[in-house]
Amino acid sequence: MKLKKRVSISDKKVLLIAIVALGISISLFSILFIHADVNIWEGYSILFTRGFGINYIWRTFTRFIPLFLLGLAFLVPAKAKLWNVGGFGQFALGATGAVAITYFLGGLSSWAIIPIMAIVSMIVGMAWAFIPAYLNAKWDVNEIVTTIMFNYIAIQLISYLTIGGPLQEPGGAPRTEHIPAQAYMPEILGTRVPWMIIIPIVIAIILIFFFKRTSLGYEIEVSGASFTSAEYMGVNYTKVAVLSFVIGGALAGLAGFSWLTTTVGYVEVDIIPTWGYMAIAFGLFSALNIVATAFYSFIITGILVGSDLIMRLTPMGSGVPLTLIGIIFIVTTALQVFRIFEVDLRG
Amino acid sequence: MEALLFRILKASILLMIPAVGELFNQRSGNLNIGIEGMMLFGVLSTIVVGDITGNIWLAVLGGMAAGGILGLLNAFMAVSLRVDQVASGLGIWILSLGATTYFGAGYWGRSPVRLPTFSIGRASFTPMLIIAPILVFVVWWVLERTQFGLKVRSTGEDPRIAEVWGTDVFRLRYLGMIVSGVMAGLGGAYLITHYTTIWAPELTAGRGWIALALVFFSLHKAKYVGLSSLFFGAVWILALQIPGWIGGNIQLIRAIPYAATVIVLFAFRFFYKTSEEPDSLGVPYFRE
Repeated sequence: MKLKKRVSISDKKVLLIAIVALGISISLFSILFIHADVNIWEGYSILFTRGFGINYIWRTFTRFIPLFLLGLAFLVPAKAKLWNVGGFGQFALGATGAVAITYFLGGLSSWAIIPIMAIVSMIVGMAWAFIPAYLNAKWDVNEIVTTIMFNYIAIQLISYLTIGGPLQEPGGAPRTEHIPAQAYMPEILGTRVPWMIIIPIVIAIILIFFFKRTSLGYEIEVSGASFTSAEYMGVNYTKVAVLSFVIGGALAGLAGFSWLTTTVGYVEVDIIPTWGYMAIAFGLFSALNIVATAFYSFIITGILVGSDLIMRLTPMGSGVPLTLIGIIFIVTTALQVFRIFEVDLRG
Repeated sequence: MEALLFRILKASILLMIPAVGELFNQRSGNLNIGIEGMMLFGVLSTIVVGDITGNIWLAVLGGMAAGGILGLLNAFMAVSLRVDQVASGLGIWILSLGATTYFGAGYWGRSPVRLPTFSIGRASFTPMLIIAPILVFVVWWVLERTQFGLKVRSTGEDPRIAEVWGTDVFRLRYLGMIVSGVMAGLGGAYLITHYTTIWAPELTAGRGWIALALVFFSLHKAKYVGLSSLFFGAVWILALQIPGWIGGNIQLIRAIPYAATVIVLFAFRFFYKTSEEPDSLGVPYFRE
């Protein structure tokens, strides 16, 4: 195998690599079906009809909201070459913060309480991202390890709050109270899709504008592309690193809010989704392109929704969604070789 | 008090083994982000092999093999395909989280074979108490005292120059990644055959990540790995004692080892401005 570094690559080829990677990953799922004695055809048909079928697609749209936001939460700092692996913790605490505020302002109307919860979740997410960001920008402390440690700390913090702590529901279950009825996200009439679907799309458009037009967006991209040129340009790296990271934290927090208000309506340690880890894949494989991230988010969300149904409709147990995402992750990463290099398989 | 010391030793060994393997790997220029996942697979493989054969040593070998295979996979991606090492490691971790939960479902709450123990005073120990420090010593000796170790270190600093001097960069880096995987697998085997002897999903609880942090905390020097592992083992065990001594919320106290990792990494950067990590750490080698 001979490799030659690419100078550039066409969008068509990037798309082709993505499709091939998804194709290989999805065919590898069959190993799981065979192992579990599930009819392969039945397995795939559940995966796709429940993930993308017209009667079920509302579920994928609903879940697309937090997952795409988490993808963006990874993407923004990644533009500055920073790895926000802390989406999980920022998401979980964002959701917890949004529940907590309803304990004080639960009497407010929908129009007041929903935006307040959203803002609280973003502030909490930002705060949780700030420390790893600052430690990295100022002292070059590895942000991958610190954000992962912060995920574990977040879980302990939520355990404290919900198991015998101040947020536990009076009934004694290890979880918070439900949010008040008017705090759930209303649905677009007749579709079961929450109104909030608009938010990540608007945010994505703002971010595209942000990176194309604003000086901060430009500084973030330059810092990621070449540290030396950023220094020449007089970019304040500490500022750029911290800001890109806390923007990511805010988006992950908002993702937590969207999960909370479009699904269960309470926080319990054992039910917090691990989407924060999965969403790393979206930004990574789209070469940090926002539109491509949206596509990746949507397709992988559909696979996730489908794999949840596989757990319900077949004897296959927990762990299936993360396994499938893990397979996609590894295969797609491996195939990045075709994006970075021109590969000559004969040589 | 005595019992506490022994528990600290046990907890340290658990971190020491994967940490010293990863240290060797990093000195060759690789970054293995997937340690946590490799430990998890090591745990599960140990249970499965132990269950089938009933033999503790085969079970431990099974754990090491599982880690080694994932190490090989990571080496293929990082060294041969030269894709982003953080991405490949994260992928291995996420796959391991899912796959060990899924394939381990039938073993939930089960106890596998145990490591044999011997007694010193009132405490019982496994052979790992001796093996782990020996492994640290061997890695130190190889890296610092042999020509082979010099080649490994020069590969980590500048693979181009190392190659000029006749070093096979690719082979060394494959070896590094596999060693890191095998040691992570051994750590996992120790975890399930002695430390926590009951399987549950995500059993490793971030210890692989802490082991990764330990490599930096040890200034990339094998001679400090023992000490820094002891330190983290002490933090882990002592934190759990705090409620018994002065009270406090157990949930919050369980966060201390993770918080300590962050603080220590920060202190390390704060006090040692000039880092001694290999120059080409995490950078794939590409012959132009």
